[in-house]
Amino acid sequence: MISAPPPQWNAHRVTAVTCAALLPPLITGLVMGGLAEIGTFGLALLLGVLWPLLFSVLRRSAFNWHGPITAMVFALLLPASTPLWQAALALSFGLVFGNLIFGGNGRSFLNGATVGLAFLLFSFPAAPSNGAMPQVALAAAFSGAILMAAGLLSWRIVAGFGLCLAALLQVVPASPDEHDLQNASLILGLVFLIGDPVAGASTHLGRWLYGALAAALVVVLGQASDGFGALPAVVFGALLASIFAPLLDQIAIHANQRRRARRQSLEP
Amino acid sequence: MQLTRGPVVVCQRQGAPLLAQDGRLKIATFAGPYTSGDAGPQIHRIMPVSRQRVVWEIGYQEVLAIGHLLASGRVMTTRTITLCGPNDAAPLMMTAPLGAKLSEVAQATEGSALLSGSLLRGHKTAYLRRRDLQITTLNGDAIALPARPFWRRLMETLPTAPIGATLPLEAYERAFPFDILPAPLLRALAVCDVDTAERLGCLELLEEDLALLSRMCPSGQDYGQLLRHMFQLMSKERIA
Repeated sequence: MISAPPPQWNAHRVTAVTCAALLPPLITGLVMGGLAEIGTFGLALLLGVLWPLLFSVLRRSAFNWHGPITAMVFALLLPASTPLWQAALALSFGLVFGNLIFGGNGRSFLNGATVGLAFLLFSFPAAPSNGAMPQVALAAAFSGAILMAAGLLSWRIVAGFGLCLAALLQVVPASPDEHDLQNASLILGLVFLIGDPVAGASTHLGRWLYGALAAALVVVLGQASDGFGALPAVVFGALLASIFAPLLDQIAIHANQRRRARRQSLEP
Repeated sequence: MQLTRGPVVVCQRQGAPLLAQDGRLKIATFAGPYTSGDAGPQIHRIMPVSRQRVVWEIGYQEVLAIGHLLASGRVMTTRTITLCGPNDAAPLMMTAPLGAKLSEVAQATEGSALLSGSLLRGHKTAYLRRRDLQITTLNGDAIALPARPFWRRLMETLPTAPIGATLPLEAYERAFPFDILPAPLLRALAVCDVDTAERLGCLELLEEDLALLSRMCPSGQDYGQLLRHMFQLMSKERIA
């Protein structure tokens, strides 16, 4: 049902709305982390502008403002005591190999922040995890609501994730820690890493499957580390789910194709 | 005279049938908002098009014109059109010749523009286009929508964005009255992947069917134009 004229999106408007949605957890994170965090966020912002700028100059293409957003999501999820050089290296890797070499936001099949965090956790496994930070988790849930209302976050992905998570928590042998659900990494990861429309599936069926797959991966990987709310579980769950998203879309496309082929014999 | 040997379907809105069904002549009803009245979604629902099957569509006014020609031996050169617009208080229907000059048919006020066709798919031209049965009046280039929320006005102050990549939004499926997957199709069109687009069902579509999606996608691309380009490639391939 279309009643009102649809919003006229363009790349800048998408970036502006995502940026507005990112503000609540960003401010909460900065208030809680204190002055020590400012350096990390500043560096991330700098890299988030510099790499896309370099690519747009070298390729003579338009500058994409999505880089700073990727950088902010990365900085928010970064474990508090990560040395700056490690953060810079990981973010650069994420921006370049997760996003820019494919041609920027929308042309890649991965989220730059996910790739950067995965690189960090692989290369420097000693990085200690963040605390639960329920305030940031609450702010991230609010961001999710904004993005969902704007149509930039698929409710099917979130519902698929939630349903699969709830179902799996019933069968997982060890009783889950309630704090896991309030973990900022989990909610931030769901909204900004798993829920990124570019990194996720692009069909209705694919979105349900993708959300469920991400939840299953997060729970399974969480069993191996410290609970499903832990950063490594969320990041690697999001990364693997993104890699499988095109395959899930192919399942949906195949089903659609068969249905349409059957309709070809339709007579009025 | 017989135009086709295949079945003929008369599409009408729900209610008493316009004529009696017999043999090849069938009646199909449609209901729903917005694009549900278009030929594309109706053909898709009744008798999908493919490489093996061709479907022709003809508007009721053309049928009237053909009937008039056969009955009287004279060509009917007028059509009944609607004159309306977002700022028009009183939309009206009128008779106008084919290819009429818009400014002569509609009294254009100072600083207003006229579109041949609807608000969504109309074109700024001087004359009424071949298949258009509607003239839309606009006050200037801007469409004066009733009180928008502040964030919409805020977003309109942002600079124009360059042509970007297709963003697979969830809202496409709701706005697309076909059993065709919109996001994969838009991506295939954007990269000119002929095989994938055909597999996804692009042969069932025309430019007008993609107008709403082009408006919704943040990339700023005209997918209707991309579709036409793809059809041209396909026909070249066929001739070769």
